[in-house]
Amino acid sequence: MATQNIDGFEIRTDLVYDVGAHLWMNVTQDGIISVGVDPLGIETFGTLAQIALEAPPINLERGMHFGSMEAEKFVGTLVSPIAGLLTERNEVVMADPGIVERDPYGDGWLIKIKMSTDPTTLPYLTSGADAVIEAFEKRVAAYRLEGVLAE
Amino acid sequence: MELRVIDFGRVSALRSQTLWHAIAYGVSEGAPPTLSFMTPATPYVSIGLHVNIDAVDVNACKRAGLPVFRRMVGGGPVYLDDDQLFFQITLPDSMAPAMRSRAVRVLLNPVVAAFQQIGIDAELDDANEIVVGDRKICGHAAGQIGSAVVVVGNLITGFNHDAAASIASTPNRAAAGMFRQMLERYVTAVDADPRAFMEAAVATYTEALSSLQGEQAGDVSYVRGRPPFGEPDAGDPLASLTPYELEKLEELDRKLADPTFIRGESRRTRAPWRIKVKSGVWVYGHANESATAVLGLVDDVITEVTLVGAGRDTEKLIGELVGSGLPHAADRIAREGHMGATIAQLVEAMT
Repeated sequence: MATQNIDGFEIRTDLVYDVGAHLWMNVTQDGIISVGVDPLGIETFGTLAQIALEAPPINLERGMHFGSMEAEKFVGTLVSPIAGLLTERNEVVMADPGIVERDPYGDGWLIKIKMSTDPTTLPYLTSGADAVIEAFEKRVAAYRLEGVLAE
Repeated sequence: MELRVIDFGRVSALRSQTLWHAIAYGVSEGAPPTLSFMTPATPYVSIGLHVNIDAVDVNACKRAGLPVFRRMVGGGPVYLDDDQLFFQITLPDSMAPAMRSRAVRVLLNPVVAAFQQIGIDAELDDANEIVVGDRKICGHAAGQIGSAVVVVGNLITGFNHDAAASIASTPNRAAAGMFRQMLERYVTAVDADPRAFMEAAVATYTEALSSLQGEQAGDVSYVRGRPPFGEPDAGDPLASLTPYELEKLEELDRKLADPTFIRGESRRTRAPWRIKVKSGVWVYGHANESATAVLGLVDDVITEVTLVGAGRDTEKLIGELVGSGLPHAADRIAREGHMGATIAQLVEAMT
């Protein structure tokens, strides 16, 4: 598991990302892809109070709602970064959303999607260590410039 | 920067929810940022998207003739009636700060300014609660609907504490009583003219959104509503909605009244029982076969204690618990053999 500290955020560089949506994807086995929230997304969203995830099975399209998260009375929508069959949701994080903050790349995964396409080939996703690092560096810098993140 | 302002006037309880949800979908599809107002013709209960329906005393609501509607933004169960003017600010997600707590703060600041303009000494506290002193004067919730961000809230000109307390599901009379008492202490109405508040909010939001965009204030299309706060001869505010918003409105009228949507998914409830009065103010309760313990906490300090069936020397123990934090309370209770397990279990669960 390769990680890189990018301006205070521990980012796994061996995963596929939808950087704008703050979601990571990990191809686990037989085309099953686990999806979770990256540390930068958790930081911008705030302390999670609730997570709701759609019950499987559902055929997801890219951009389709698969759940929601709530922090400080704000409900944000979770939209799928890829098309595929939602096969599993993490019931544990629904009962204890704090797990997503404590272990975003591990026990804090959200859903699993069965997909026939290799996500690293999709042009709207980011993969490869160099590209991931560059994308997060740009995103963190932009957030700091906008005052989203403290200096 | 264009701002659309719509005063819907008095609308049905259901429409007081579905109208602003429809606007959010409209803004997602290109309608301008919108500031909307309405007041419900009849009282009802609104619950946040993730709230377990068990948090509401559904039978009490039925007896009181209060419908329950689930909204698609956050927060807990609230009692709403025609002594409240609802406001909503809806804008494209791209206009709102990416840090969500900051977005809510930025979008509530104009409300605070509007309160101040009409002579209410309101402040936005560190938890994004609009308060006068330590009392909450305005509820709020927020969320992303489609690709729009919406922040909703209310001007409360009269607050029915009894009704607001009665809709909450509480484990026993002691907990219900303390919740009612703390609502009275920490949530209050303000003596304000809703029409003046609306006018002030239009001005403060126009300025704030222009500043957010780095632009000069632009056109404000202001659709003035019908009574109670508008004019009797005002046109139909629905005419200011886009065809897409009207289509979504009909769809939302069905969705938000759908019993399956209202019931929602059953979620595991936290132990022990607790209920939020306002940010930082909670009532916790726990009971076993021999005793009931209810604690009121303000910023993690115990301010109220009710013990039922707890044995001798209750007054002394209450006196020692009030004013203490939970670690001290846990330590104190550990030395209190005669109290039995009730309050010890409660404090252990809370800590």
